[in-house]
Amino acid sequence: MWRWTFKSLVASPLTLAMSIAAAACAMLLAILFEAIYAGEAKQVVAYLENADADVWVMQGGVSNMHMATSYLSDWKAHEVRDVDGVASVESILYLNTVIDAGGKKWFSFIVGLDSSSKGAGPWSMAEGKPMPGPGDAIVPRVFADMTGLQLGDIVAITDRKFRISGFSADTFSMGNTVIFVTKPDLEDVMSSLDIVSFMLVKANPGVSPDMLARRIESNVTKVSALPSHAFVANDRSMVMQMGVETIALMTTIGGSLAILLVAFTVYSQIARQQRELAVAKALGATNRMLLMSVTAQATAISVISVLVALLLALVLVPLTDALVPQVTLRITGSAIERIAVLGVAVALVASLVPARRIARADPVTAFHS
Amino acid sequence: MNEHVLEGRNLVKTFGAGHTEVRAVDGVSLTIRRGELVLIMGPSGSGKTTLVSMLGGLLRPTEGRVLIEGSDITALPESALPQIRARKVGFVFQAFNLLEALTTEENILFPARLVPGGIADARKRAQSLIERLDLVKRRQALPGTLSGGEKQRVAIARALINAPPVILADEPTGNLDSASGQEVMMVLHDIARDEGRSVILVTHDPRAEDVADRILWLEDGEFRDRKAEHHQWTRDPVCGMRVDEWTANLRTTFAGQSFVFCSTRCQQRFEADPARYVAQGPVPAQDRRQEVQP
Repeated sequence: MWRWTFKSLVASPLTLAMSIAAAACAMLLAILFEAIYAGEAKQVVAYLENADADVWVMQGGVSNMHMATSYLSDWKAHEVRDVDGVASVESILYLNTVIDAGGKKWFSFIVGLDSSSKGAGPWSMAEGKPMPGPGDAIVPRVFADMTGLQLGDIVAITDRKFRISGFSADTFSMGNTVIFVTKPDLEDVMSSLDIVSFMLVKANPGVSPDMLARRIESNVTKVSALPSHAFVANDRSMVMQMGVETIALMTTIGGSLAILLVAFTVYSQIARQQRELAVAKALGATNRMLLMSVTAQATAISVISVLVALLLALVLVPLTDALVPQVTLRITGSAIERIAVLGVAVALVASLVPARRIARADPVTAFHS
Repeated sequence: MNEHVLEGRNLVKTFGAGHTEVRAVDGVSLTIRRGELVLIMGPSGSGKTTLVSMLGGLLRPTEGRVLIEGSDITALPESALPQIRARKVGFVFQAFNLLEALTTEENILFPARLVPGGIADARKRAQSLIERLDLVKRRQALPGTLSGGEKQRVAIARALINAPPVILADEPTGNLDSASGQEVMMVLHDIARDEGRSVILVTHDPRAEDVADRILWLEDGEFRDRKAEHHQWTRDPVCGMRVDEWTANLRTTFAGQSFVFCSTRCQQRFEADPARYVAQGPVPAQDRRQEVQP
């Protein structure tokens, strides 16, 4: 029975190959959407994850950075520093704005750094100085590649011009572009003095960030304090909720396409084999045997499609990273698990479609010439 | 041992309902003994295939019972019938119905794989059948590469692989040329005579009458005595074989004249170049012998 099952499956190798290719492409689509989602989810909070902070302190009621506005009087930094368990405090000024570079407008996060900043600036440099000087801006390497900007070129942030003094690595995502300038320059752009947006707090050894955050909130008025992991999670959630429905929809479309394609292949196979099914029934095969046979065929198509899709993804992801650096793709273990589950679902649904046809195959038709 | 291997008791099969009801088989009873080769003949549409389908457990009768080796298969649930078919009945079809993706040997073994534990003994039996039916050189061949006669021999081997007591063959020579048809007929005859299996043969092929133990005539769903005038013998214009014009179902009209054939192969040959066979002089209608069945 199994021999017949698999020999029938490969009896038309071209049709089978085309079906597998089509199903694999649909699954690859789902994998790539997942990878874009996962890559962007990682990249969009890259700054927060790489900044050297155990606790983030911001204006009361604010709980994330992306598209948020937070103003704190700079003297609050002294109050925070006095809280028991705080090792150090570093303040940044922050602005969401659109910058003009390379003839295009880019949504960017501008981070204003103190000259003494140690853990709030770029964590990896591709080229140039790691700290901006007066009138300087450090922009992401990818951003520069996309716009054709060179070191020494000018970018405009609102009405101020900045000279590019360095290219940072790993600071670009589709959701935001992180640009570093000095705090006084950003104060000038924002026409504000003696304010900060966020404080990056380091805890003393042995002090839990959660506990320290609670302690800061109870000791300093009108501030919110969040341990780094919670702050990052809030930001990721805030950014991704904007795209998650689209990504989920795309993944569903990819999965549904895969189901349709595998189901169509199995259904065509059954339609082609209708007479042989009748003959097999006449010879003593049960509906259950035939259904198992079809399920095995659908499973084989699905499994091969999943494997082909994963193989293609493994080739395409580094290729995309190299050719389209602004898009960060990331294949996670959970994405592979999900695609495997999708493969099983595809096989089951695809084998259920022709079940009725199998059940209705009339063995008497074997007598018809 | 019960010598009555297959029994049909007052079998009725109706299709449709009300004004459209058709009684395809109408109160047929028959008993087939072990080792008997029984021919079921009759005009097209007389209910032969319906009757054989019921005897083989492929179709449930509207009324009546079918017993194979004393066991009433009509009393069994639907789910039990596939195993009855696999173990108790061997089917030989006019269209051979080999599974196209499988080799000769795999096709022969297919029914054995449907029976729990059936494959263990079947390999030896398959080997023996392959030798006996002269298929040794075609063991690994796919059906598409076999001749009609070879295909039907594979189908016969497949029917025998589980050593069923009953073989049901529906027009097994219908798609064969006369030589292959003769060969298949003799194989079926030997199966009944040498192996003691009960063979029921539905056919229009008059040569089968020479090897049959009994001939049953089915007409309008009932067994009837075959009347002499029911035969109108003529010759196949291609191979010259004797064909009953009254029951033949392979017909072609050419130049206003109707011709009947012993097999689709002969019919195809004729249709490819009818003038050739007409020119050679098929037996004209007015010259056809009115043969009377003894």
